[in-house]
Amino acid sequence: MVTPTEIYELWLSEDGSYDFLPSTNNSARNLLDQDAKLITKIEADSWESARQKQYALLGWGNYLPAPDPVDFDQVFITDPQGRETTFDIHGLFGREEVFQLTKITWNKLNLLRKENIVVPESSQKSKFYSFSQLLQLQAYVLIHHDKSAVIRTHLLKKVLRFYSDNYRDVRRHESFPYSIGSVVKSIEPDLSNRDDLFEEIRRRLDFKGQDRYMVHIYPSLLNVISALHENVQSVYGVEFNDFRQMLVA
Amino acid sequence: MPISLEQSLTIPQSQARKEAFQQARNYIERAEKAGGVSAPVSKTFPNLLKDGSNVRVDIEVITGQAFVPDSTE
Repeated sequence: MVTPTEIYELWLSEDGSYDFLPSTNNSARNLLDQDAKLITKIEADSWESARQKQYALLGWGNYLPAPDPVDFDQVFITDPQGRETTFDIHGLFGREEVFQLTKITWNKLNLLRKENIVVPESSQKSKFYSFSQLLQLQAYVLIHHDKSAVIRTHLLKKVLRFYSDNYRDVRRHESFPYSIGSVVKSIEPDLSNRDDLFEEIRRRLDFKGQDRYMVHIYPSLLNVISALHENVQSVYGVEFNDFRQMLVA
Repeated sequence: MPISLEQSLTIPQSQARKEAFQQARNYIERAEKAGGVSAPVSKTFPNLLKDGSNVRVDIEVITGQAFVPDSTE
């Protein structure tokens, strides 16, 4: 079967900006600068493929398409032993399930609810947590495991928001959130964005108002999902296939 | 959207992209005046202030229509 191809145009304006569009996209063509010049035409069978060719031509490295959250229904993990856990990101989890899955205690769960950090949805008799909240609770358990890390409520809210905001983006799963002062950002495992961290530190180097600053580095989403996976495996073990059906259903 | 993206950057990152963000805002305004733009299309603003810089601001419309002006009704 022959895949139909389309012609894409690469234009360069005098201000140095590039326009890239299919030849058939007239609304994009109408936005071309008057001084824009056609550099080349590229034939490709999809937008992604065309963009990859454009990136190669301009020496921009690999084109990484943005994740489509609409098509992203599951988070799954397979460990070195071949054990797999799949979570339906639209799933709701009762409190008993949350205790089993995250190993969180009653006290901590209630504390997070009272402080409005992780608040379950309520029906008449039951309380349910979403998958993103499950991640937040598991992250909290891991963070709290380090007794030396004392984190104020407003900062904890920001840190836990990292997990709920980013779990849909697989490219962020290995990033480590960190906090310095009240700022929360993340650092890549290969330290490719370490300049951001250095800049945050540099901005605080006057030490006029405070004689020390702590940089806390928190678990990555992968750490959190791995911890959930271990808990699922330890709790459900042999009946795990049934449990997985329940999660994905 | 470019405003919130710009605000998420550190000061040096934001400075390096200042010109590009302004160009992006101008492009979006132009698209709005034209009634929006259909996907797919990309517009890239490199940082021309520094030679050899790989810093750039990308607008990419992957699906649907973007920058459609609000209805006045």
